[in-house]
Amino acid sequence: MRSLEKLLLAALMSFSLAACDGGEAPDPTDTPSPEDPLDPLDPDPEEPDPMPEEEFLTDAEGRVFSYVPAGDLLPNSGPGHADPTIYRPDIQFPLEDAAFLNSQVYRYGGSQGSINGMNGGQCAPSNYDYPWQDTFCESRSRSQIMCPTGGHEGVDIRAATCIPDSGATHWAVAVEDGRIVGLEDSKYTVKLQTADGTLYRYLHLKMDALAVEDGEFVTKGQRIGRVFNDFYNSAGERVPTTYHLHFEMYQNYAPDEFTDPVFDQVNPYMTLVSAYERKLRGE
Amino acid sequence: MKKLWLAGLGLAALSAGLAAGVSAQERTPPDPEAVEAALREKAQRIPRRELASALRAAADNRDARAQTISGRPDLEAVRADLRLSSEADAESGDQSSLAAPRSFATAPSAPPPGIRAVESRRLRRAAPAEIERAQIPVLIPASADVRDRIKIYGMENVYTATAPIDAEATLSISGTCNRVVGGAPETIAMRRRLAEQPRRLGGTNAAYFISRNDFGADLSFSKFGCGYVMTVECGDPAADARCAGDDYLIGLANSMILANPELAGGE
Repeated sequence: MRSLEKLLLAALMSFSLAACDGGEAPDPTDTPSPEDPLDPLDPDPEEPDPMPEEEFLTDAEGRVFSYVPAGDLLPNSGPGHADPTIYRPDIQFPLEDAAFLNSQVYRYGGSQGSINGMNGGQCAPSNYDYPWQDTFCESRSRSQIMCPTGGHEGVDIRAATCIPDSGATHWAVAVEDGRIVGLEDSKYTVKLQTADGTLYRYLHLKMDALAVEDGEFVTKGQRIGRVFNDFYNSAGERVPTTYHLHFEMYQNYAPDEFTDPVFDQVNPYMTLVSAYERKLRGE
Repeated sequence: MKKLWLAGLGLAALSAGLAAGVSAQERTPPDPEAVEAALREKAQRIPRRELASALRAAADNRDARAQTISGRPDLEAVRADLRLSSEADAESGDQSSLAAPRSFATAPSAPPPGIRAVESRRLRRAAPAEIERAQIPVLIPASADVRDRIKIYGMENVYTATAPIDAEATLSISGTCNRVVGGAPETIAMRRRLAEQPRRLGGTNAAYFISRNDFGADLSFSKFGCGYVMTVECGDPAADARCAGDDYLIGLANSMILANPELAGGE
């Protein structure tokens, strides 16, 4: 019976599409799904019963956590870099509280938000909600090994609340045991290096009130600094960006034992999905 | 002939229609509600149950894990490079050799072969204990103005060295002999393609790549079986030639000297 309904529905859809010939241009947000068309060889595929919402992982506020796959960026924001690799399976998530990965530039409050019709301030509710979205290789003018046409070389993480509205303090923490290096010589970044070679960079923290010192050995989960909006103009003067943590991960990666490694930035998105999953599970 | 003319007319009309469609899309941003709805539609959720999560992870490719493997530097290669530079200096009558490296220009036209060493006491800002702790060739730029300001953070198999260049720019270089392998098959394939196109530094002949980031530029290179990344941060990365162009970074990388020759049995 269900297969008959599907066939009727498919016929009706075919008729509708034919009738729309010459109509509106396709919506760029529509993503064709390869699973949608009915398989003529298997007209009645068994569909699993949808799981109830309460069966999915939620955060402390009871919101179901969800994420858009790696490399799938907002429309008009660049090619992305679909790398589902979990580079560091055991890191702690870099923020203490809930967090939202999404674009600081192409969403509400960003300089290019209007491209997607997202006009408004950075505290727009949908900026502080799931699903997460990857921003690695989001369009920029800079070239990066992983995004040769120019791209964003980290991911952007909003804190649990929009700080201008909430006035809350949200802490960034050490994702692993390691050492704070180069702080004395850097105006912009906090670098954390692990004993086995991974290098993390935390940007836009409140740099004049960090919780760590140059050269300090830190432990996983230790507070580093507050999520803030520190940024600098060409004269080296402090100017604000949106409130968020820009997070980068360097790995000395080699595709095999015979090839020289390249120590460079990799896409940390799925590493962060994995870390957040463990955080939500209380592990 | 008439058919051909009609076909041409049709093609022209189609092209104009497509162009109009494109420009209409450029002018009209998508409906943000539709964008958000599309994101929710393709978003993945994670089942709460442990077993279901593991199965789901495999289905989602969330189990494409890389791993870090320990590595040691190729000390024989270090010794060979030190010999090479020593012989080159002997031939040219340059007696500065290991103990007093020359201050190279930032973009030398013909970097000398091999690698030179510097005595740690000549690094005014670096703590000897930090250098001794690093069991990896600690490479730093030879340029005297940078060398005198270098601070080194050593751990067993990694190090970072940083220095202010001037009020506008800072330098850092990190290295490790451990390497990360594995992960998603498409990542491995992409990395293999990337490895086929490196450029080579003069002198050390190390393969290198350059990237630009929010605050400056990176030059990544491999040498002695280890990976290094050198970063120059600039107040205005787009306008400052040290970050906007490649020459400054390449010049620094060409001039690398070894801060811990004792690692290879040197002085």
